[in-house]
Amino acid sequence: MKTRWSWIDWTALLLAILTFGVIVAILAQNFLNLE
Amino acid sequence: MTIPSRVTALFGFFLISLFPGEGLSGQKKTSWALVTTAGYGGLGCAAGYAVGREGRRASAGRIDPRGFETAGVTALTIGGCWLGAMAGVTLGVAADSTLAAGDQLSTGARRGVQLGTVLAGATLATLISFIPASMEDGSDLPIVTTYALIGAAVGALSLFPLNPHLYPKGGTAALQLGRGQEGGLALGVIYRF
Repeated sequence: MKTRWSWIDWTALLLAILTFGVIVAILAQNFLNLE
Repeated sequence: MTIPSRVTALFGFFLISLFPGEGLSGQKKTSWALVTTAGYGGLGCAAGYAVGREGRRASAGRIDPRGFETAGVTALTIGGCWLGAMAGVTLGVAADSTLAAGDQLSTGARRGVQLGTVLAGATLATLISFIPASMEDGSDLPIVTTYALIGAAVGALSLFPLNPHLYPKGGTAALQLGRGQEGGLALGVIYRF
């Protein structure tokens, strides 16, 4: 039984990663001092 | 609901999805893809951000550091997230498919999923650490690092209840009762990890 992903799964994943990355980047650069 | 939809909807609550399965019945509900995506994705984000930060530092004085900060660091962070999440989702979906078919995972795949679980704990804890870290003055690195390490430890501990889900139906634990070498009874405990 192969787990199959349709295009909407990949689109959801893409959006999730983009949203996550943008939020992390904004937080890390504007609200945190990680130097 | 499909796995990526759950990633989208429940990213912060992925720990909940770690524990729904039943004991030794094996891969039925546990979605390793969710865990490995979060784990390796988080690692990729952190690596991408670190590379971007070093690039900004190295380019200071030569190009406008503010420009690189907003564009370069963000792009590298997202790129790292993307690479890590793709690695995680590939590994997780392959593992879920193998287990759902009732086959054994290779040792490499099993260790990869286990590492992903540890990393997922670190990812979640790092996200949580942003709250106290943002309230602190001075460098936030110690707080973020401490949270990440604690999260990794929690992720590692969660492998104990999750371990049966790394194997197809049949379970991982066994008790053996037999005769010892010098007579008497011997009790053996087997726990595959």
